[in-house]
Amino acid sequence: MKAFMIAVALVAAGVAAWRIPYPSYEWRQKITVDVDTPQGPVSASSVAEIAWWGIPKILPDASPRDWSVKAEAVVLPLPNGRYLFALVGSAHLIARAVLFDPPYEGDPYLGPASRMRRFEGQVHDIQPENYPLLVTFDDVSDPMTVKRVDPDDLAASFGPGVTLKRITLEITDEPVTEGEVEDVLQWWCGLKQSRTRLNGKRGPISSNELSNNLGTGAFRVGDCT
Amino acid sequence: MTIAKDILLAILSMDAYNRGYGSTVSDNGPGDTDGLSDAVGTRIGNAQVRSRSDSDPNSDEVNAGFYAIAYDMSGAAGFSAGDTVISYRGTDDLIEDLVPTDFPIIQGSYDEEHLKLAAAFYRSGSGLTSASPRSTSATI
Repeated sequence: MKAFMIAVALVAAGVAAWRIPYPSYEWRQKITVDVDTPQGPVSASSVAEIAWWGIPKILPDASPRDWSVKAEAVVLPLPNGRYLFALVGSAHLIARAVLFDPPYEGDPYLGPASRMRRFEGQVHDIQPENYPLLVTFDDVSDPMTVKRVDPDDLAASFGPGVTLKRITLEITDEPVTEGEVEDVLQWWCGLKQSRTRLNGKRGPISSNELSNNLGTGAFRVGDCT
Repeated sequence: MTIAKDILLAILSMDAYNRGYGSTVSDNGPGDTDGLSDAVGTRIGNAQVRSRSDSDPNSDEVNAGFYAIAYDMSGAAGFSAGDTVISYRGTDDLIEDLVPTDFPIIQGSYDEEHLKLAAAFYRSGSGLTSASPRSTSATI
């Protein structure tokens, strides 16, 4: 029993010794999209889980940190039957961009990550330059029909009277959103399993056509539900 | 200002680390997955992005830790119209690159995802049309 206790203590000490130079931080963030329509305001949110951690910088080109994201796009159904999607994009960077101003204290990524939770419960407007990419589909059953949406001119995509009111970010302890993308985009899991982009292609990208540049990870980072 | 050929090549060799997913720099641009833009047509001096590998988190390339970018060098000093430069990221991850990928290749195992993706990118990025990879003028 004594040997067991010593072994447990050694493992705990090892973990603690590792965590001091190579800390790990995680938080959940809720992105909310508010839109005004002729039928009244509509809103939708998505909660993502972000983690950042330090790693040993042994190789010269190696990053001293790494990150992971578990997230899906905000899916906003509009009264006219269309959908507005706010894509996952830089989910791992958006809270840092919204809540902190450079120069950052300590490591430029791990420093802000270490202080995220102190913002829990506060709702912050996301500035337009940090907006996630907004898209819609002419036909939601056809991934090839994806179209970019101008946040300053939602009417061009959805008709007169539709305007973007605001996009907000909140650090939260709510559960991570799962399944809403697949509920609407029935083709998502099939494309994810075939590892193709929205135009059905894979491999090198040699055009800026949107369906050739967006993959399934733009809508959801995670497995099929 | 004209940039000397060797200096431009040195810049482009580093450029693969500054664009696409997992970049070491970021401009936080709208819709930017990560790093500086690698949209086709983006200019770096007189070099112009011709193609790039996929940065989607669910793609084969990201799962393998692979990234490459090809430049059209038409108009750049020391290059001819249509010349291509391909910049591949090197080993930048001890756990995901060095141990499971580099060591097997050193030991002669070429059935590695990185090599397959690199070959596919070379064929596509260089505009290779014949069976021989030596038939192109791409600079790696």
